[in-house]
Amino acid sequence: MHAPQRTFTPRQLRRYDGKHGRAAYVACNGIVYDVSRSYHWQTGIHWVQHRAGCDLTAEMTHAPHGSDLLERFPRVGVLIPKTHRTDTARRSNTSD
Amino acid sequence: MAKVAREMVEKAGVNVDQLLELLVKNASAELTTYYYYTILRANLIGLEGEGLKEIAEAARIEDRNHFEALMPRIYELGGKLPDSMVDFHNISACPPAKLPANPSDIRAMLTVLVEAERCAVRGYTHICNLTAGKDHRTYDLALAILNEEVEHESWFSEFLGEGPSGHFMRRGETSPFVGKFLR
Repeated sequence: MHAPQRTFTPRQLRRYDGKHGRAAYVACNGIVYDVSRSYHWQTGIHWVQHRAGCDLTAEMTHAPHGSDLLERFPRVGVLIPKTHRTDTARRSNTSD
Repeated sequence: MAKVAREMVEKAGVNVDQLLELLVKNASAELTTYYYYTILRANLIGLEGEGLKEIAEAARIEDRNHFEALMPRIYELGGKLPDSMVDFHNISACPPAKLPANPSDIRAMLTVLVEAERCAVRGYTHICNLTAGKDHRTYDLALAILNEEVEHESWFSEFLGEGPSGHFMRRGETSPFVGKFLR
């Protein structure tokens, strides 16, 4: 049996920016990874341009490595896509 | 600072401050790798270790050359190296290539060496991607370094049993690609 997956909205994910001792989480292809222990994510910044607390799916297409590299790090949850949240909100508005 | 040189790069759409940070971090990675490879090379001894010593030495010297070649470009673009060597070490683009806990474990030594080279290959590929068609001089330099880092990775990965690299050990001078920036 799988443990229930923790879910993150983009706003919740932003809290894990790796700054001031906070954990560094990044999302890619809907999965949220904890990269806090990576040398390359010290201070929540990777290669000057990339920030922890963000969905890096689009940026990954330009990276000199594949998303498989993230599998070295613990998966901590899933990112709720924006469209899903909108649909959920719309449904709850209709039922009101 | 080469004022117009920087202006040209900015006008081409490159964020020069970000580029400078990357160049400084990579210069740090080169110099710190030179240092850590000195320790690794000294510990490459015995029947297995001796076979690796010469390529570790070639990679060590070439990494120092990369530092020397990067430095002028950093200053041309208006950047500088940190005043403190400690700060410089700690901003390295790549983790320290430290001697494994068991220095007689040649496979562990090779893993450190190949990981260091792979980090460098990714780093210079990234800089090439950022500067291609925009900052010709930095691109030319990063590409020259990349060519040498790819060869270093190949040498070490071959010893790890990852298949033939297609490369041969350096013959003659070191830094066949970066040498033009050092003259």
